[in-house]
Amino acid sequence: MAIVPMKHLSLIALQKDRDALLHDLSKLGVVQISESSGESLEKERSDLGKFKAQRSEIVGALEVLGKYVKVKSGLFPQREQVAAETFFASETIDDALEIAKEVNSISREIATLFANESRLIAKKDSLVPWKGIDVPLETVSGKRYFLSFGTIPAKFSVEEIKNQLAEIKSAYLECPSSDKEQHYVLVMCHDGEKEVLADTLRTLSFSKVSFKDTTGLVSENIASIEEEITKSGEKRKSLAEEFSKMGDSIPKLKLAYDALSVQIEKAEAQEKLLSTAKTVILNGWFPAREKGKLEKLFESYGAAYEMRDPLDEEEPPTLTYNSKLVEPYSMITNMYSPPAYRGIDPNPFMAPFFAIFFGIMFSDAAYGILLTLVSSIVLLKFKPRGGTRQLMAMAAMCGVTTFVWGVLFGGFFGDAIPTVYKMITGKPFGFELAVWFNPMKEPMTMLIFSFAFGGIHIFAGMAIQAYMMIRDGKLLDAIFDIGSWWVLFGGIVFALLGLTNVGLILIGVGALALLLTQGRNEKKFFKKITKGLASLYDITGFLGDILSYSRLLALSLATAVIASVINTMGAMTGPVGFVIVFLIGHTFNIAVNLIGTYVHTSRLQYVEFFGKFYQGGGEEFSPLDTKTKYVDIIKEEK
Amino acid sequence: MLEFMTSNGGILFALLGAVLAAGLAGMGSAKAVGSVGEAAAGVVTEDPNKFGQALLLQVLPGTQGLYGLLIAFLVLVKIGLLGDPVTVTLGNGFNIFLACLPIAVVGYFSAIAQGRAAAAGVSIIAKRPEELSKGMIFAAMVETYAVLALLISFLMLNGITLA
Repeated sequence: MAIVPMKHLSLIALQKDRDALLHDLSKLGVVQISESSGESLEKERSDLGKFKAQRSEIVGALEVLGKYVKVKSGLFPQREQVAAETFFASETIDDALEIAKEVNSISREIATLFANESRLIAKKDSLVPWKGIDVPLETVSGKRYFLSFGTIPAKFSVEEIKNQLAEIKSAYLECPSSDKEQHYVLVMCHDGEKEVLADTLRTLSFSKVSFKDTTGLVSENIASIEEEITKSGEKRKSLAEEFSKMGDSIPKLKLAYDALSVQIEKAEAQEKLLSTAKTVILNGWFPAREKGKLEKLFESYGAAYEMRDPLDEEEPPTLTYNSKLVEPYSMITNMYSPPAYRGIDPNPFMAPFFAIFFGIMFSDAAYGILLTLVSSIVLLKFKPRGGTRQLMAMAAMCGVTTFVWGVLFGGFFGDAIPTVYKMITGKPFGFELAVWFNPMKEPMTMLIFSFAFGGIHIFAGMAIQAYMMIRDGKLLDAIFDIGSWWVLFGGIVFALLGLTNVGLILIGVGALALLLTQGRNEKKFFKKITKGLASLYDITGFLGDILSYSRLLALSLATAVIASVINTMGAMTGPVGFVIVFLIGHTFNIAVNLIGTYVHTSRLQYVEFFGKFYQGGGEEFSPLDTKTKYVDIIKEEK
Repeated sequence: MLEFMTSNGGILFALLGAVLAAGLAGMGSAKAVGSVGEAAAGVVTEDPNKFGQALLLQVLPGTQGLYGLLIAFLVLVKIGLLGDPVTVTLGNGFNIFLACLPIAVVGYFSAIAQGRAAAAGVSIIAKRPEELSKGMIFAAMVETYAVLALLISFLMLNGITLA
């Protein structure tokens, strides 16, 4: 349980060993390479850009295939085990790239066909209103006659238009269709009356339409476009069928994705190195315990290296080391902010509180059993990694505390046992299941205990703060800033327990100590006193913190009452209905309250607990290693 | 009229309280869950894989509705609508009505405020999905006040003893 000591590494190796060395380092996975700086020395260049382009090609292909090929993956897909030789072989990437190129070119072809189809559909839609006209579309006015296609706004009725045009002797009108906005029309007249017609058309707000590249009859055009669309659609389908045959190559692509990711990480590391004509220079951090392994590796390359402890002005990355029980909770802390290298690892202190508070809020024996059961199965069967593993391990532990609190508070699917008993026998269940007490019946007791748990939590936070102050040699600060508060709070506790006199004396002593010491860094007497007074006002902050723990009661009530709503509703519907309502209802209650409990437990750690002592602000140790998403590399035995 | 009120007023007021607790808190939650859903739909259009994360944020402001339901249910149990009938005097009924107000009013407004915080959290998962938990915590900070209101409603309700 602690923050792992780090050592700084400087290394000079031969240029020709560079790739092999980076490869070995990434397999060891214990060195975090930092940006090297040095005047007059060149930065190393790598194929980073090329690798990234290749990886996005593969990502594209995987996305396309994912859309067309149904693959069973499940929530926790099992990773394929791949031998290191296969993983690092260059064919792995080359083969996959070829497949990816093919997939991507087909997918581009499909996209082109699709775009073309939508263009055709638009064209067809523009022709449909003219369907009734049997004049070829390319027809224009000739020597003897005037002819024009066009539209007239729908505010004029067809009758109106006809009446207006009737005044012109040779005028001819055809109106194949109309919609909400306009009438689609073809007008003709003798050449001599062209101008009169033009005037009339202007009063009708006629606007000319010309069919640029379309020739022939409308109906013929529509038929040929439809044929083209069908053909294109068929072609698309046959191309898409090719994809479904390529489903087998998905694992290959996934393998190549991981292989490229490892390459990219190496290339990124390489760009942090400095180079001279014959050598490369590497700077980085590693956990002190790995010294031996690294020395052996560097000796084998005949490289020059120096390993030293971090200097005071340096800020090494943080790696925490905790027992298996505590380690999963580091996820909660890292979400807030990883600890600083010289700070304190809060996980061992936070973990038990997290589990206990989670248990109080969820407090149902049956829910606890289910939670532990499901998360253990996931852990053992699917062996998830990273955050999922931590989450599941936490869930398994919190399930146990949930069970314990459920037993203490008498919750088993809420009040399922009394409800079922009453449903079957018709008599009330005259027995209290709670081993300790039932918060539904004694909410005030529960509220007081919630505050008491909160007080312990906050005291623990302040104790850690005091420890940190003493560790840094500020013993007086610890006594004045924290000791005074403890005396004051101790007094309040005594007073509440009935020892009024002792309590009042302690409160007085604590308050006086705060009043006299909190302004000790101020020079002027007046400021010393006002600062001391102001510090007493902090008590409202503590009060707010303590009140915040009432959520322990509220959320445990929420779980229990919603469960009893479900049971009551079920009992009203008879035995069969009860089973159905029970299954659906409790699944819902577990899902909703699980999220609520998780969020509120985290909040109590972040705001009330961490607020007392924890600063964070560290950088998580992220060594150069072989991080993979889809496959596991089988480690070579050494 | 006066006679009607003295004989039925207790039940009426208690029911009005239950209606407000479940109704207002539920309305607030519905509004909030809806608005987070709109924001979430935008993100999921871009990346369907973020559905799960977006859903987590969407359910957060839904709890006020549940708290309202919880109080309404306890009122129904208390006035004997779900079991053996109890006499509820006008005074008792009015007290029950008052006990329902905290979760009804605070539930409504806190749900909407929480919905806005959660909707903003959706943009966190659009850009930095690994920071989802921070968005969840921001939304949960708002819920504190719904929890406090629930607590007071519950304690008030619990403190009212029917003869």
